[in-house]
Amino acid sequence: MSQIFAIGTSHKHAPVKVRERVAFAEEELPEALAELQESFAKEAAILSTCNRTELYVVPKRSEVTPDKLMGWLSDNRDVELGPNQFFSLSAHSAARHLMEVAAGIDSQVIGDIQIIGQVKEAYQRAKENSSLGPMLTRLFETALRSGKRVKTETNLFTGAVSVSYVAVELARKIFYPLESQHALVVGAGNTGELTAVSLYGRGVRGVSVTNRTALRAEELIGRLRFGKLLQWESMIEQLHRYDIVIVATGSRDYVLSYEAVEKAAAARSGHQMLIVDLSVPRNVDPRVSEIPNVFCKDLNDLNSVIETNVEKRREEIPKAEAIITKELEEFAAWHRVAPVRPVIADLQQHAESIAHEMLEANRGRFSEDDFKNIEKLVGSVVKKIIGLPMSHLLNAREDPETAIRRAEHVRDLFGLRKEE
Amino acid sequence: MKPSPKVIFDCYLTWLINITSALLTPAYCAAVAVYGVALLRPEGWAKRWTRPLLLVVLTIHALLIYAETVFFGHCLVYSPFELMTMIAFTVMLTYLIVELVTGEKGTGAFFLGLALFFQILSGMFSPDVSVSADSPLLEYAVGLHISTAIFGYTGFTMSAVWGVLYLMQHHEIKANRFGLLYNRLPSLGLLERMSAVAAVAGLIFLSAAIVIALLWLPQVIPGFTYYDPKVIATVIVWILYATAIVMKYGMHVDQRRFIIFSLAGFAGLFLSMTIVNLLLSGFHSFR
Repeated sequence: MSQIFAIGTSHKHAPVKVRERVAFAEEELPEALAELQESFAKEAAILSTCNRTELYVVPKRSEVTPDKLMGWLSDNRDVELGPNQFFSLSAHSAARHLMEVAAGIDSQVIGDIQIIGQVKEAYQRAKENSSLGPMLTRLFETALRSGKRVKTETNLFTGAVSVSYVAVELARKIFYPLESQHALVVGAGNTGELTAVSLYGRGVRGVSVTNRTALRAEELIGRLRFGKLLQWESMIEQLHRYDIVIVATGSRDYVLSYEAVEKAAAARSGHQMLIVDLSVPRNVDPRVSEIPNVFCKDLNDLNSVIETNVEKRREEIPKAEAIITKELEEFAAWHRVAPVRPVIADLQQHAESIAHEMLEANRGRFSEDDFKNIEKLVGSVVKKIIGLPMSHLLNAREDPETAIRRAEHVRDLFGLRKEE
Repeated sequence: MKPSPKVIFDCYLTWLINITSALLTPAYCAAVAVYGVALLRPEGWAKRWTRPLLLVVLTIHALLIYAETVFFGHCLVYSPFELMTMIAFTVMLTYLIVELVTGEKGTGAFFLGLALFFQILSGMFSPDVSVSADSPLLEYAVGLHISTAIFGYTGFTMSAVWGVLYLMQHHEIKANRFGLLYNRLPSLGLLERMSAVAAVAGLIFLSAAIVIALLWLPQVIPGFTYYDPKVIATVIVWILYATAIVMKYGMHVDQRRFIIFSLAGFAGLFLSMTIVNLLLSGFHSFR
């Protein structure tokens, strides 16, 4: 029976400084897959993301062990992995692991929507490099199907779980249509950038950026390739023009005072305003939330959303596990039959070709109608003859060694070509 | 003796009325339940049954309205029983159109719940309304007046539902309660817009009903008086809604204040539909 190994490292085993060294760049994958195939693997695939680098291998020979594969990974990436910094799984555990990865259960943030795409990407890269065979093809297809089923049949992927996404979701629950709103990002740091990207991704085109140091705001706009610069000095004066204000600066004081927001709200003729303070310490006077038509939320408020959503996702894990278990059972059933499947196919083809040959040789001896009847009869006889050895092979699927032995017997008896 | 075709037809009508009457309230309840389940579990089985069930309910209700209209010999707009059931039907029909246009199903459970409420309320009144052939209620102007009023009331009812949902969503966001309602309800902006549009439509129809009443009804209804409690209550409702709409579009008051004013108008409407109709009405006695 063909073995499957899954070895590698992930956010559960190694810190980011190790993971980033182990990770494969996209252009490195063809060579790595070729090396694996040359030395160890009948089939191979590499899943490499910022949170994990995993090898899925069907070994060429019985001497190929997970330790040897781990050694190859360490050598290839030129990194020494400690004993607890990697994992090694085989057979059904390896298959289950890939399914859990594709379903987002194994992600750092449970239900990370990107992972399905990343698994698909790994599958396609391996396919392009001809490193897949029937075993890994079936495994990846099953894993991708499990991921899709978990996505559609459970709520594991619902609810925002990052502050920038939660902030934008909040804006979406206040304004309609969101696309026509004007947003101001105060602060040119990482959080401000992520939120600006999320807003733009949701269709908000009127994004402005302001920062105490204008140069950093300009650099951010350059990186984003969208947005306008608002001078820091004009911010308070222009505040009323913005429906959504995201504040994420490193300031120790309030950047937006109660009075400034009150004045801006008054100038907005009753139109609502959302201010999201993503700074620590807070940069917006908390009393701002008391101003009519102003929704002011800080990190604590948003974190409560994230915690609730993460908890809800956790509650969905048993449902996802049930889907995976069912898919895994189907994969296991397929896997058990896998060693005998080529023999069955060869036997069928062999018998059918003999029957076809004999029929064609005698076609002229019968009328059209008689020939059709004889063709049917011969087909039934062939099925009956090969039915017994086929069931003999299938009955042995629970015991791989017996199955392989019987497969060899059938090949010898019927003179079938040997498996490569 | 062989029964006449009219007797046979009346038998069929009675049969249709009995069947559809028996089915209607359970069908409403089932639709509310399915929309409710779909609201709680949008990924579940219920979502694909919402619209078919809504269509089934509307079909049953339309058949009942047809059968009763033919059986009683007048449009179903003359008694509290008839008005309530017509409002339930128009709420459902308007909701179906909104759902088809916007694809938004998040508010369906609330609308169907409201329609069910009107339908149950209708069942509390007697359906037996006899209108004599020479009754002024059969005048064209009266029919037009009542029909426009029903459309007006439906507009206000839908505006009120969206208004209540707006206040619920507003409260959830202000109180940092980002739970089921927050996730399932549409945005504040959309709820307010739908509520405002429904209120404007309601006001236009109610204005038409009032204009028809003022111009034509004194000539066709004996005992017509401008001091009838129903007339006064309707004018108060009109003033409340008109004020809310002027506040929104003329004075640009904030969304929440508009919604509260609009709901005050609906409270007035509800009182005029129930207490005034039942206890105080003069010539609006539906006979």
